[in-house]
Amino acid sequence: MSLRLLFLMLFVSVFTKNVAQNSVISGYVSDIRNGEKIIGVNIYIPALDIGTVTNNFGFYSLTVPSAENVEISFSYIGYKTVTKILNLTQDVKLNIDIDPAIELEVIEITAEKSKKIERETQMSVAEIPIQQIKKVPALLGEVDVLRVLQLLPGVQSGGEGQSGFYVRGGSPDQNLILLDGVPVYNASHLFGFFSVFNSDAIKDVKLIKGGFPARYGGRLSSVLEINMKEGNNNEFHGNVGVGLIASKFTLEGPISKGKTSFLLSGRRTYVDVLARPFIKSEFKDSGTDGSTGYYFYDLNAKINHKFSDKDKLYLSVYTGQDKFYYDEKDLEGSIRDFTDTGLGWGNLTGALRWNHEVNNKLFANTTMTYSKYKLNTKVESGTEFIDENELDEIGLEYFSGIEDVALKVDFDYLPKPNHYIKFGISGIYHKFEPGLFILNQVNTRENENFNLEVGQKNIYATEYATYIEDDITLARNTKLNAGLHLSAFNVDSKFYTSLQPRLSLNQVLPNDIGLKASFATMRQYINLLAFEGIGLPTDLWLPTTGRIKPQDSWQVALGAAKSFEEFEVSVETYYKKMKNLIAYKDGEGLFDLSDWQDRVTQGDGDAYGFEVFIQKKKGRFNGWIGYTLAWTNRQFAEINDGKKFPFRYDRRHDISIVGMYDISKKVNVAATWVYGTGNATTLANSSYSGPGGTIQTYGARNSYRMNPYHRLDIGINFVKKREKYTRTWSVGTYNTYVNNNPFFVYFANDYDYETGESTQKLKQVSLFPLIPYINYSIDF
Amino acid sequence: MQTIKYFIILSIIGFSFSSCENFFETTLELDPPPFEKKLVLIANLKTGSDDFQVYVTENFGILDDEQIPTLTDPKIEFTINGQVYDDFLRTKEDNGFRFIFDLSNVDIQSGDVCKILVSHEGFPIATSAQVVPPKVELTNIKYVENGGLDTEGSEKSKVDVSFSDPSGKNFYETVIKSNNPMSWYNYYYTSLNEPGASDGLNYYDVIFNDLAFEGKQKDLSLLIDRTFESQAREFEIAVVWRSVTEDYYKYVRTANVYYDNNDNPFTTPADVYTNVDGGLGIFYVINEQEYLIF
Repeated sequence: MSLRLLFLMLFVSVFTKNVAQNSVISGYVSDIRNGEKIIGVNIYIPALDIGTVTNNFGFYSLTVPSAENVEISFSYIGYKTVTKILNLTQDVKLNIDIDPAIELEVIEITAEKSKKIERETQMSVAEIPIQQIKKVPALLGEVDVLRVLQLLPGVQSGGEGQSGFYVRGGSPDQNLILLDGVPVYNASHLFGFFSVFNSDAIKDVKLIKGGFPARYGGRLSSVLEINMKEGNNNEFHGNVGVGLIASKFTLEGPISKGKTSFLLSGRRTYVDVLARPFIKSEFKDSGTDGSTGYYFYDLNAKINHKFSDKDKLYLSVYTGQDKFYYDEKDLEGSIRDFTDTGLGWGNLTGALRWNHEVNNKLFANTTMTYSKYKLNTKVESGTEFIDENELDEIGLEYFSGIEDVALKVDFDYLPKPNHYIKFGISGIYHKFEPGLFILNQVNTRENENFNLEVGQKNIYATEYATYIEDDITLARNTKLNAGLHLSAFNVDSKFYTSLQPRLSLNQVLPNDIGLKASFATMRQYINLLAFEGIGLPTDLWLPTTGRIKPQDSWQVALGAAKSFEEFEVSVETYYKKMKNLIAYKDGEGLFDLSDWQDRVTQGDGDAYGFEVFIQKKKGRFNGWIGYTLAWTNRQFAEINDGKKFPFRYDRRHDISIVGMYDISKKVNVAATWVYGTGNATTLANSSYSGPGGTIQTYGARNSYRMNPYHRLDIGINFVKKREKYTRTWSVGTYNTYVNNNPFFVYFANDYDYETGESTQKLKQVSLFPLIPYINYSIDF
Repeated sequence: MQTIKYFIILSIIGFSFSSCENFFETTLELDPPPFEKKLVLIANLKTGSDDFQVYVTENFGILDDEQIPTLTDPKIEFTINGQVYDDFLRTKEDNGFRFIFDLSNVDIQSGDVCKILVSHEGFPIATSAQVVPPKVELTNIKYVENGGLDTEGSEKSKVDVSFSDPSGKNFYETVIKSNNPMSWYNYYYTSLNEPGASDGLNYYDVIFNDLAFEGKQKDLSLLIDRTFESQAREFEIAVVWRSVTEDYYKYVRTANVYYDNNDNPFTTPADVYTNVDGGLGIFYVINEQEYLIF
């Protein structure tokens, strides 16, 4: 069947009027405790065997044949199911507040038919409740959303301790990370060891690895949607947490009860503050004055206001910064030598959203967003002649970054129970700063003032997209999600366009096994020019240009899923083909002033594999087992003699086992065990004498495998409810059985001072042999 | 207060782990990466030369501190257009063997196919072939004192030359040389304001391809950071002009990237190009002329 015919049939089925009289039930579903809208709540009418789910703003709409005494239920994991009897003789507006189940019953909720995994059209998706994320043991006790996502099949970590993630053979820049709908360009702190997302400010997390619905675009490999809490609408609450490296707080509450609420959440590391007296004393001992340190912080703020039942406005802001600093002053007489060095990077994002319920079948969300990532490096040194009021100083600064302003309008249209249509349009204005060096030299004695700017010009580009998709129930056991995504990119007077069809199909077999298939094409107009191996903040976000083509991919996935009494099991296999990937040419790398377009090459990649996910959601003991068998390759004409080679993160086997057990209302334990095939890397393996000296040979690119990675983490939470607050002690260990996991390998020359001989050795550096952690938090 | 006390005690316990020297970082020794033992050929055939030398060695493991040669009796076969030349002298050197072929009676022409085959017990057979590049003549050679500017705007002396580039892909290497008997070196660093031009195998040379002017007449200005007015033409200055093979061009380009970046951890690994099947190293043929400037 041609694509055109298929869409014609869909159009006819959507807009053909039903002969029978219909009624529309619509409204919002909220958490009774705080008024937070809940995403993905199941609304189900058993008598008619039809249902729907709430959208990202808690809105639902269901068109049903008119009838009396119809039972409708609202269910969501971790909440008590609410059942109502309605007379559906006319349109009904029904806002529902649902109540969390009491602890230990949390996961005892009976999943409704429509929520069963085998009946969902979307495949390759993972949603982990934030409460569960918080129970998973974490490095140094810092709960990390991205690190928990790495425990899912098809999602891999980059290396020891790193919070970046690689989805189905894709690079980190192929992940669209959205915080309240705003792209976040650098999602990590401390060179990748922690993510920027403060778990206390997060409402929900959803990762899509394939079968992308048409509403998503702009990246090849995954979409990670993180939504911030809205702020408690009913009463003031808060949380204060103290950990080994950072402390954090969250405050939320109503400004005008039921109408306006706010949320404010912050986190800062304080190793620099604690160490400051010791560092000062070290400087003093060496006869100088100075300070050095590192810190990062995050600040999330959100305010929302309900103008009416149909209109709501949200304003959310995130800012986070990493900063390393070193300054030293050495005073001798009236002459002071000084050095001032700083390395800082951070994000600033903001979103202003307007939710408008156009009518009981049409919901509109208009969003204006701003996102900025900036790196700033500074080195200054010089001499101050105090008596003469003279200065001799030289300074070098380096800037790079990316800045976006975007506007998008999304519509949810629910004309019939068997159609859920989404459509929208968006535009993004990008500003890329590919790297600028500023050299400044001042010598007041010689009356010199030299200023030099070397670097690459800013690049400005605009990106447009429009989409339409329909989630269609073709028959009782057959569902289809079909859509089209059209994107365009304007840069360097060049206009690129791409039409991307998306298709997902679900067929439930008589034994209640859901068979799923999906096909998605994606296009990406922006690239992260990264040095393979370490996630440095110096990695550059760069656009498609007249010379650099956009990245493209297509992915096909097949899978099966089934729910059992206490388990869900899903298996998937996928094949992904990527084109126009970007990489440094041989011998090229960071810290080069020449045009970046001359230093990169473009090529292809493929990824294929098999994933198994077994999840237990009910009972006091819950968790999951994930296994991935995967192959990922790259091929560039100018790398490895044009031959195909394994991607650095080509990981044949990847296993994650996560278990959580509620011993009592006061104590719960959790453990995770992970295993992954070692990363592929390129090492010199032999040497010979060439015409110009010794030459080392590397063999094929990424032909050396580092040792496998495996680790066990254990955590215990002690919870105690007091009259006015609940306190939680969290203790645990990271890498409990002290495995030396590879961080990187290198050749070292070991010098023997006794014999005067040096010996070359291959060494592996491992981080974090065993890291205990302790956290204390109070919820009030 | 009780809570704060617990926290401080447990934090101290936690930090006490990390206070151990190198607690957050451990280093293990690993076995060296596996590699295949191969013969290494370094062979440079120059048209007009009386001899042709092939140096045969072997590669060693990356962690082999004592590189003890294992070659005892390498066999070589050298052919030009299929004709075997077996008039050679074999000498044993520190790390391998040198074969010196007598070519005094051989007139090597553009288009000749030269092949080397080296074998040794315990090693894969190493072979390499080169087609002698075309002879390309320079015309209109003219020296201008301080007549040129380099890419950074600095004043340089220049030597203007012209040549007719043959059809097909061609590669060139050139350098300005002197025969000053008082100087301990004879070459001047030579550069070109041409896209893609880079240093040659020797630091003073410049190498480039004809991608931008394939099959056309080409005028070039060779730049040198040197003036000759005071020497008053006491010694000869010449242009050394080489037509080289694509394999040589690739070897030089990759070797330059390799030597520039080998110790830089922030660059991607760069392998040096080899045209030796079953082995390592480079066999290249140069069609070289020398033109006197004054």
